[in-house]
Amino acid sequence: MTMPATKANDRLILAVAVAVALGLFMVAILSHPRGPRSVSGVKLAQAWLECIDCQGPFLRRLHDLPPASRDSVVRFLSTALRKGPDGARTARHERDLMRAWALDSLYRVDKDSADASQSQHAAFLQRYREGFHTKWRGRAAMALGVLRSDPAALVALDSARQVPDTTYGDSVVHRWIERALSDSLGPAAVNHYP
Amino acid sequence: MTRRHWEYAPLVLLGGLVAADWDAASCPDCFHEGYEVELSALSLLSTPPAAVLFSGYRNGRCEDDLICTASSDIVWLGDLGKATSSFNWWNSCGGEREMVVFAGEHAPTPLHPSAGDVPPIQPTLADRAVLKLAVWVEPGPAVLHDTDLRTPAEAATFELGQTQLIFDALGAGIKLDYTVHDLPATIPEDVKDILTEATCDIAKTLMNGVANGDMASMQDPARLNVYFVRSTHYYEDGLTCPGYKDQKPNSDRYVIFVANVEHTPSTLAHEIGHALGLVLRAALPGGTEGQFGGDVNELDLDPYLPPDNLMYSGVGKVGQITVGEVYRMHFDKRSWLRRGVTATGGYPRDCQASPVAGGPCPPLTLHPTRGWP
Repeated sequence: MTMPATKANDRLILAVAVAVALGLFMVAILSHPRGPRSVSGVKLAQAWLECIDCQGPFLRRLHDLPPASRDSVVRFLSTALRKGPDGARTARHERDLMRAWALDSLYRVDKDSADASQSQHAAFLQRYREGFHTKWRGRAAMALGVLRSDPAALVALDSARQVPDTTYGDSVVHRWIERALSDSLGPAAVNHYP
Repeated sequence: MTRRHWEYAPLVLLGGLVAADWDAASCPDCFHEGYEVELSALSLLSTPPAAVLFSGYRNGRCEDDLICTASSDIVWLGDLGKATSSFNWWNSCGGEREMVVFAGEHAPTPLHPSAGDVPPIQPTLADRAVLKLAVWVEPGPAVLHDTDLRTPAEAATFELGQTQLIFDALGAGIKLDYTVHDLPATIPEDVKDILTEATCDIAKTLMNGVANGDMASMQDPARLNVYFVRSTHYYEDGLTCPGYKDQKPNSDRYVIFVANVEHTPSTLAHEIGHALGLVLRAALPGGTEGQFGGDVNELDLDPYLPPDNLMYSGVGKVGQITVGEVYRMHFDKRSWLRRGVTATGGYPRDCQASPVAGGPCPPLTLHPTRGWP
């Protein structure tokens, strides 16, 4: 069956129109600069805990979170202060450490350096594990101090203060809890900018 | 072609246009033809492989920040000439041409082919740039703490080794030349908190003290000074001073603090990145620099960098330094490597334009599409 000429022309015009619309859409997608992602409060808090050298501007962004997202952030930080990083984050850190150790071993072979012993390997893992755990909890305490106008943040800090120290890392975290509970931390930390 | 087929012609045409645009944006790595840079002096074991960053005539227009990776010891750049002057890079792109070779175990090397030079170019690559560090630790024989029985000097030496390893494996073209010193047993009163509450204010007091003839036993003015301390005041793993302000390596004396309660073997490498111009001051598209500045930009840049990039804010194991970052380390006017180096040949540059779109320097995120980790 043959198609009437007018109908075929209509379909051609339609195809062109669709193609042009699709083209404009693709150009808009490809040429539009990707903006920074919209970071949720909890993601922001997590990035604070992980960051190597973030400071005041970061805390200010946490401090300025709208009340609606503060509850979830305080809950997240309270858990972080109590328990340290979650299982998935701990596993990722462990993988990173294993890869760093493997690379270091290869480097030693390449440089004809002395091979590292098992005890050195164990000590390497132990100190970075503990450092990571300590950092996570300490920075959670600091962020809760910045958010301490929220009563739940104060409760979390006060509750963590009651737990006795059993490790060196605990004592470091404890010092940070005391600072977070002091009146001076909030504004100073938020405005700190190197 | 039947009429029925013609109906799909606009879609095919559109697909071709989109594909062409995509090709231009990502610089197809690069056909084995055209202009070539021959690097026969380069070790075949060199990792990462050589890559050439260049401006060239492509897709009907001059484009900056093209990048091609070596196949064996040759980097093919494609046909860079306009129709009548093929193979002649000199005629290719007007006044703002740049060609820089990046290769493992070498500093980035700008090339300056003369007008009329025909390929292959056979450049001599620069040696790795030497970064002189003075590293300061708490005086021994103290151990760090009950679960870390190393001395502070041993811990510092390990992290220095990790840093060199990262720079070597990822093509930074930097060799660390370091000395490790004990801090004095009695720390001067003005900087007494340096071991437990290190801040950039303390770094400044120290710098002034050294300039006034005091505290000479705590700093080497000729080197980038790194202090391994117990803790910093705001609990950073690492801290680079003067921070995110407009660093001037010829007048400022940069200082790095690294905390001993560490969580990653990469902290020092990340901080050295900051001292070498990776300060991320510029606004991103829709960025937050105006409102918050500094370290928040590092977070906002994270979506543009893989999580194992040197400057990712929470990087654990470093698995990538982009060519855009290596470029800044060596050529940004804020980099400590520019200290005392006379400006020449268009370098150093002000690289704090958009890290995504580039500007006077290639985008921070620019990286070869193959060969480089």
